[in-house]
Amino acid sequence: MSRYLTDRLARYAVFAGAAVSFLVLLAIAVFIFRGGLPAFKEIGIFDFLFGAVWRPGQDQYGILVMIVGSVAVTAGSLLLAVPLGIACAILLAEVAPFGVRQFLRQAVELLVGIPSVVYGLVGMVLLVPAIRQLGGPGYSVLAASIVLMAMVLPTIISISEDSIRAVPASYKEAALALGATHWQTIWRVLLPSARSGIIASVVLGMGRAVGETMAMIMVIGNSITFPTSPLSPTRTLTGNIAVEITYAGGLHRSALFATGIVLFVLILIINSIAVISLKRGGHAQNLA
Amino acid sequence: MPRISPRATQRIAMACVWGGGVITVLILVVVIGYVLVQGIPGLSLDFLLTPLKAVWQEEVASQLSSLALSTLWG
Repeated sequence: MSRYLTDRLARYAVFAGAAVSFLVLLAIAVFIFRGGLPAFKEIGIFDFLFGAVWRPGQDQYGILVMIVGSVAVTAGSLLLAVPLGIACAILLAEVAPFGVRQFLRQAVELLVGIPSVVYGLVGMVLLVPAIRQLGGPGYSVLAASIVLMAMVLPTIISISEDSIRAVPASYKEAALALGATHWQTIWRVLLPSARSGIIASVVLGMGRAVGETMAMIMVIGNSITFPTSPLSPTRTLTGNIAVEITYAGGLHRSALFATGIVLFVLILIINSIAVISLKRGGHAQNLA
Repeated sequence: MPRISPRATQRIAMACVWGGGVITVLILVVVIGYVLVQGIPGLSLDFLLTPLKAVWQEEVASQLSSLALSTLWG
């Protein structure tokens, strides 16, 4: 086969792969929107998004509790994961000797590979009873935040490490030559230069936190109440769909699809912010 | 407020950075360690290979082969 033909075939194959991926995504979006739009029509967007009562038996569908639950858990997990993740990224990119770096990187990759149900299981058996000692039922925003922290850590660590490494060596050399200590160089030169990549890592971690379902169902309690403290249970948007979809029908089912639309849009916005942030970083580094 | 010397700041910061690494490894060790410690005693060839049908017939609630097959199939 001529090289020219191989080249063309490969190009068509790659194009077909990309087109199929796009079509699958489009089909999922159309399916969710077709399922959810009747609920928006019947309930009203405002009542659906800001209604505080979710009682499918009485045709009351307000997802504010779930939105607050998802936001609380995501914020909690990021509060724990961001300092830890950035510390780990600095350790990997700048501080640790070669052997430790290799070991830690393997550990981070292993963390990615653990299925979410295993995180949920360990959280349920170890964390929940421990948190119960502090008060409340144990199934709580705090338990969910800690479990999610472990799950978003690898995203934050690996992207932040890459962005710290991508800072031109001349920046570091200049800072050190001016008499800055290693830490001053990291804090005042490397981290600000890698800012956009670090922000992107946090935003991508946020996307994962919002979308996580299985582990959340197992440790958050799933009660439809506003969380009044880190120790109180609540329900997330994803958990709401997973818990109720098996027995839902009619408007109830449509309302769950509408919850999916809210999630879809939320994650689309979060990912767009991450992409924009990463692009800005690339631009800044090109300028440098 | 007393000024902390750059050297002391460096020491504190490096301790925090190493602490971050240790905590990450600890999370991994706890999750994997706990699952292994709890799970390994229950593992056996029978557990993996006995068909699920036996669960109802013999009231043994720990057979996995059908579930394993359906997982691989799906």
